[in-house]
Amino acid sequence: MEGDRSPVAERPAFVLLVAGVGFFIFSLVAMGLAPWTTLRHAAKPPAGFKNPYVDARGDLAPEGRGRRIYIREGCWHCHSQFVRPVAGESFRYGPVSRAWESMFDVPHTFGTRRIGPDLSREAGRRPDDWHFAHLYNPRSTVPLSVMPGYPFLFEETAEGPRPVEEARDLVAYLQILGKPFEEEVKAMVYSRALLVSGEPPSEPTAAERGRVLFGEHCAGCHGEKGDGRGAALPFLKPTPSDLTVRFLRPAYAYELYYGGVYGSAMPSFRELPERDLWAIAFFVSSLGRSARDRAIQASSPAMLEKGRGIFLSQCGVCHGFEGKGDGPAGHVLTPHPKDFTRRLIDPAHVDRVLQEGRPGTGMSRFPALEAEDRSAVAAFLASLYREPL
Amino acid sequence: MDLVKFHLVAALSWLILGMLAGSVEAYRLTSPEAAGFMEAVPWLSYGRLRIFHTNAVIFGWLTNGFLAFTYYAVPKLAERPLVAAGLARFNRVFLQIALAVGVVSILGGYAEGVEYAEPPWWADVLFAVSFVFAVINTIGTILKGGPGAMYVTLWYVGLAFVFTTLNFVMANTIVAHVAPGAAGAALSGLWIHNAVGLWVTPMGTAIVYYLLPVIVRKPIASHRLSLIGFWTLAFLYPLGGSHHYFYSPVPWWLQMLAVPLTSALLLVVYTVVYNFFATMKGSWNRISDDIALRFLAFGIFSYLLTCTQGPFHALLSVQKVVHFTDWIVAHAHLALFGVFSWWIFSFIYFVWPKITGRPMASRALAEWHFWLSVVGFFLLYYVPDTVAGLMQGFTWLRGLSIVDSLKAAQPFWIPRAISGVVLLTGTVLLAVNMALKPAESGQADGR
Repeated sequence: MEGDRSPVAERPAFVLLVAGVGFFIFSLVAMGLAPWTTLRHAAKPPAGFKNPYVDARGDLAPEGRGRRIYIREGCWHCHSQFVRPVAGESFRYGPVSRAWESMFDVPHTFGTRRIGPDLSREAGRRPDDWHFAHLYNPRSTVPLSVMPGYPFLFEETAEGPRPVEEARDLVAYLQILGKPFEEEVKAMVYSRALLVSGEPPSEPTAAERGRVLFGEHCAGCHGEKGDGRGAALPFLKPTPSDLTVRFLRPAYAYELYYGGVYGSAMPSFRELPERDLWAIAFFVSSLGRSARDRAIQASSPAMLEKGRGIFLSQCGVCHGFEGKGDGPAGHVLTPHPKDFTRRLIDPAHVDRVLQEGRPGTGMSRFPALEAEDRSAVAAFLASLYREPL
Repeated sequence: MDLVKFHLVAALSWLILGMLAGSVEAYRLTSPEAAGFMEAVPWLSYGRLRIFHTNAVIFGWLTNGFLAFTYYAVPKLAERPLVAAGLARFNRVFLQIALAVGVVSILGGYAEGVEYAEPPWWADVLFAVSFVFAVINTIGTILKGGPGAMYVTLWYVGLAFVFTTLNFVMANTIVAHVAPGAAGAALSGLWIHNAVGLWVTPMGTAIVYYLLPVIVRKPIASHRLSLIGFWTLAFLYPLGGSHHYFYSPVPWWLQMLAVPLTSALLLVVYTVVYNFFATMKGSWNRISDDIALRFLAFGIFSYLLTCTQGPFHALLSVQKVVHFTDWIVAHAHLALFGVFSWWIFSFIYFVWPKITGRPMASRALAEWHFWLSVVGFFLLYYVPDTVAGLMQGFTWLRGLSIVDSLKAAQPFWIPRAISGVVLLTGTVLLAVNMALKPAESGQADGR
């Protein structure tokens, strides 16, 4: 402390002005405002990209309200919102993030941590009912999830929990994240490009491993026993498949798990290692063995003839006249009508679905069919099966 | 002296609340199902409690602790009383009200989306006013403190208060309400980086430069190095902010600049560390019986570690793996707990006997506090959480599912949840030690 002889760099006013004020302004201009200017020129959105958070009159749209809930609940502390061009992220999430996508996000919700997955490519990836089930109790759709549930966004009714407006707003928001890339993401997640012809030899430990993996990934919706009565059941339309009433050979099951079932809450599990997917496929296939046996036993030539007649007149338009699920009206339906050449269905289940329909899909009730007609249809469906048993 | 005491008690109360929230959150990640009963209460929702945790420790604990230090050290160094002591007395309560309004608003569902600046605008206004009150006293006292050179501590304190006022206002106006998307990310990178780098770091360094020479009764080894360390911190630190958003849509030139500018921070850190070691020369034996010096020294070890990690993270190949993972969470806790909290602990053990006029009540409690904090933190928090981060990063890199990354990380989250109890116990022991009167016959201890 030597009075006036102190160097200028150590005088109070100099330190405060240069280091405190000057360097702040310098960093703000160089590291904050300059990139902002760069972005104004570089980040050109495609034509037609409008602010998704307000409606035509400028009022806050459900998506905008949902964004506020996303922010206030701190969702962005565990879910990032940008896809990096490294670490295979575009395989997992979809196209790498562009600067213009977030041009209406004030403040931005990029996030700095991922406990759960990135959410910037959610549009079109999952249906709303999956999100509701997941928000109410994340363990119902993802049994190993550590995400907190948000039961306070739901009201309890006689038929089970129902989302209140805030939950619907939040899901509306999730469903516009990455909207401009929706088709690309859909094509990637619900891949139909994969055709599996053969199966690897089943490993001795695969059955047990399949059961464990089924518990970790599938049981939330399909139930511990695979009967479709998991915790997510009250939310989902169509309801999760009862895996004990239909038979898929493992190779076809593998295809389904790889590509998901578009239009239902069944997601793609293509991120699982091939061995794990096969283990699940073998396990689930084994769940349908008794259904397979019942389906095969059920037919007689007379019934087949009758079933064919009913099928061609009533079912073929959606399910295709060869039962491949490719009928002229079927293409527009999501989920797609079932392909009966690749699955065997328990006659009792056919009977039930023909009576009750399958809410949430294009499958309606067929009240005009008598019990006898229904078992004829079941027998005919079994005869369509073309895969190895 | 009352002012210092009040801020320290407030600081410790916030720390206990913040640690409680952090521990609950850590536990919930290990057993989400068992903690499910909290989900029905919106106020205890995981997301809100997490924001409560960060705000309580950064603004409640660290900021109150730094204010206590400021009100103790600035008048001593400037050789005059605070310019507005009445304002400071009013502000000590007003600050707690501002903080309480902030965290209650967060828990009540009014959080904003800017990391570390989540309290809504009304709480921001209160906090900003309170902070400016503190600035008036600090800067006013420094400027009126005689024409001569300031001691190193005062450079750091002055820088921290001025820079942080501007930074706080910038974050809660431009980032929160004006800057969109990637531009907002660049600016919020600036804010979160500088909240640590130009509030917490200079205040912590100020504590070291103040306490070290007083405790070991020797001048700082190199005045020139402290000068270099100060000016490089002030100039270089703010320029690395975009390293929080590597590989994001923030302009690439900005990300590229952040790599060398972050690496340059090694210079800043090593000046402080070298000065510490050089000053400690010949005094190392003192750390065994002086808890304040021991916390200071262990804080320096953590400082060296965390600040060497920083530039390492800014390498893009490292960033690819560790970004978004618990590695970063561990790193942040190493800085804010392992360094700056320990330095405030050091200040408490140093100053508490002075302002209460009696020694710390129990040597044993102090030792327990130290060892629970150090061993508990490294063994149960830092190392497992760093490993959890690597597990997550490499699981993702292999293309496995998010669920697999949870399965890989979860075993390492268990010690982290236990560390919450251990570290909280240590902190409560400190509080007990401060509250207890020493036994009349007990030997004097601590300082």
